[in-house]
Parts: sequence; structure tokens; C-alpha cells
Amino acid sequence: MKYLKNHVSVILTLFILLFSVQFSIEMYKVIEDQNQKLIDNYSIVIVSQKRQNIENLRKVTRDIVSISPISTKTIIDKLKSSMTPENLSMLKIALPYFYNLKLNILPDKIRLDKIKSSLLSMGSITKVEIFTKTYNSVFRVLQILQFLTYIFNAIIFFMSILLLFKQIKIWILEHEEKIKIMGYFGASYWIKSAFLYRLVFIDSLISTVSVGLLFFYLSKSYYIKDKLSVLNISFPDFSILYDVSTLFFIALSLSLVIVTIVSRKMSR
Amino acid sequence: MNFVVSAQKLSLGYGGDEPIIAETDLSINSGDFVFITGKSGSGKSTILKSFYGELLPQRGSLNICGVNIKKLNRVKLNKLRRYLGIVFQDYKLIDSWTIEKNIMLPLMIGGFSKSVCEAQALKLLRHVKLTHKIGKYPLELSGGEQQRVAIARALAHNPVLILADEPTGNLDNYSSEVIWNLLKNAREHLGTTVVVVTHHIPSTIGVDYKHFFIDKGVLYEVS
Repeated sequence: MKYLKNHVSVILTLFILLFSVQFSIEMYKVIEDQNQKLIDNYSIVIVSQKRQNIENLRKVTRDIVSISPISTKTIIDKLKSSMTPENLSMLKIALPYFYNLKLNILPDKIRLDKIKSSLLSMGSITKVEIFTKTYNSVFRVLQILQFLTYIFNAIIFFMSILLLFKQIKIWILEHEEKIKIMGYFGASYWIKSAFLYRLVFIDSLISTVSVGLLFFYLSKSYYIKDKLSVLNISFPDFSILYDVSTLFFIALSLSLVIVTIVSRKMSR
Repeated sequence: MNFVVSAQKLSLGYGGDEPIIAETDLSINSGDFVFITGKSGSGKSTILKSFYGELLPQRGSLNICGVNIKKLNRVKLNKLRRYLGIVFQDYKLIDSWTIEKNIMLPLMIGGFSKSVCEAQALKLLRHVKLTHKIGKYPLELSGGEQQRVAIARALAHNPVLILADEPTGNLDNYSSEVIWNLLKNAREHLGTTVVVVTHHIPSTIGVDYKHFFIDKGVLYEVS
């Protein structure tokens, strides 16, 4: 209890820092997931005078991953009652080929226009529909959201680092007398600073476990899942082993570097 | 002659100010028991500080255990300090450590095993008659008891040189007697050189000693 009281500021700062890091990672995963959903749901429609295949199309743009013909049967069936069989046969011959194209990326407007002009330059393709308006609005919202999250988290991260510097400095000042006494008996830098390294190791561990437990809870919480599912967003999986060890590595390496910088600077 | 401390034309002071100790020659042999006396503010503690490298000479040379203290970097100074045992007037014990851990400090710095440190601490606690205080923290002890712990800490690693700054300054007779006996024993049984800065030399010290007196920045040997 006494330990927690003395170290709550470092644990809290590390907690906020790790939370911002993990939140950015989760946000990235969500955006990536949404991107993938957009990619999966998005397609370009082309109208061609000739039959097309993927090899032909990929000669002009490498971003196409699949091509699927759009059946004209439904349109022809609708016209059956109002047209003679001869006219219908002629229409069937005269009708161009319609294709759905899937892309491997989620390109921006400029890139889409480039893909469109590349396809049109083939000659046989007479029309390309890229559905820019609908597509662009969703994509922009996602990009803005991602950008704002990163900016916000970067500010939190930076502020936390400054707070850690201040807190470690306070620790050293609190233990200045002890460090000095050790120095009178010939203690090396590492002996004098060992307790600081031990403290930040324990504080890093406590804050990592706290952030890990919080995100593990969030990833399993039905309430959160329910709320996010309304927005068609799923909370990314939280890996106890991978995510927690990454967080611990970040917390420990940052705090060790800060302790080293501050204590070296103050021992001069 | 094997000098533990030797100084030639040693001048000591703080910053660029006038020297407190000026152009002093001094030599202390191995196994000597030395008293440095003088009025308040005469520079007694200043000269002791220079012996453990807390204050570097403004001019002249100062050799401690055969090394020129002026030429030592931080790492080498740390190594030199491992051969010294320092006793401060204000004890300088680590309040958050138990008294036995305080005594173990020089041994821990020297890299001794935990069992060796504990055994030595217990032995010294017996010598300073504080075994009944095991597990206590310095602030739970009286001034005299704290100074006895500080003496035990200074003796823990069998130093070559003990530097004591007013070790019995404000202590009761019993604590003072225990401390003088410990310092005498260290000199007699271990051959440790002892340098004590004090206002007055106890009349019942019962040991051969050298006496230096500081007056107006100059150190005189009193015969």
C-alpha cells in the first residue's frame, strides 16, 4: 500500500502512456478492418465491347485483383414481353459486356481517376463507373478519424514522457541523500541507481498489467461489443501474450532510458 | 616510509575564494592515530573532505593511499573510497534502511555475499553493543546509538583509513567511550590509520597519537 502510494504517479503516467499506445493500435486495427470491409464491398463497374480477363486489365493497372461478369439476363428477361424474339436476339448480340472489378487497395480520388483513365485508354472499354461520391465520403471520415486519433494520442504520449521525466527527477531528489551516502563509500553509478531501475521495472509491470487487463476486459465486454456492433465495428482481438509483452517492452524501455538520462544528468 | 596521507603545499578552498587551508605540508603514516583540532570554522572539516575527494585541492598535491586525488576520475575515486571508512558528525545513515543494512553498505558495495555481509554486521553490532536494536531504523535510535552504527559501518569493510569528523560531538559519555574504544581497537588490531577531526582530544584516550592544529589556515604539528 505504501509502495503504491509513493509510486502511483509513475504508475498512472505509464498507464496513460500505454493506454494511448494501445488505443492507437486498436484504432489502427479498427480502421484497417473497416478499410478491408470497404475494399470488399467496393467495386468498379466497366462496360466493354470485348470480353475482358484479368490479365488484360492488369496490363494497364496492377490494383485489380478480380473480375466478375455482370449477367445481362435480368434485363433481357424484363424486355421479353415487349420485344419480338428476333429483336431480342439482335439485342443480345449488340449488348456490351458488363464487369465488376475488385481492387486490392482503397485508393483515393486521384488514384481512382487514374485507374479510370487507364481502363478507358484500352479502347474496348467504353464506360467506367467508380462511384466516387459514396466511396469518398466514407473513406474521408475514416482517414480524418484515424488522423485525429493519432494526433491526440501523440500529444498524450508526449505529455506522459514529460511527466515521467519530472517524476523520475522527483524520485532522485527524494533519494538524493541516500545516493550521496552510497557515494561516500565508493558506490558505482549502477549500485547507486539500482533501486531506481528496480522501481521503474516494478512500476512498468504494474501499469502494463493494468492496461492489459483493461483492454482484455474491453475486448470481451458484451456491452462494448453491443455498442460497437451498432456502428458495424468489431473490437479487435486483444492478445494477452503479444499485446501485453509489446506494452511491457515499450513501458520498460522508455522508463529505463528516462531513468538513465535523468540520473546521469543529475549525478554530474 | 609508507604514507597513507601526504600533502605538499596543499591549498584548499571553495570555488575561487581565498583558500581556507594554505600551502600546507602533511604526512600521515600507516597505523597512525591522528587528531586534527582547531577553532570552529578553521577548516578542520574542509581538510577531511579533501581526504575523501569531496573537495579537490586548489593548489599543491594530495596523495591518499598512494594516489594523487587531483588526477582521479569518478570511477577511480569510487575505488579509492572503498578503502576508506568515513564517520560524519551528523551520522549520515540511510533512514529507510535498518541499522544492520546500513552497516552492510560498504560490504554490499564491495560485492560481498549476503551471508558475509550479515555475519559482519552482526559482529559489529555486538562490538557497538547494539544487538538489542536489530531490525530498528536509525530514527528509532538515540544520537549516540546512531553514531555507534555509523562507526560500525565505517569499520565494516576493514578500511585502510578511517576519517572521523567530530565523531563524539554531542554524545553522552558512554557512547563516546564506546566510539573511542572502537577506533583504538581498529588501529591496534587491524593497523587501521585513524584521522579524527575534533574540538578537543579526550584526556583518557590512552593511545599514542599525532596532533595537528589548524590556525589561520596553516596546519601545525603539535609535539
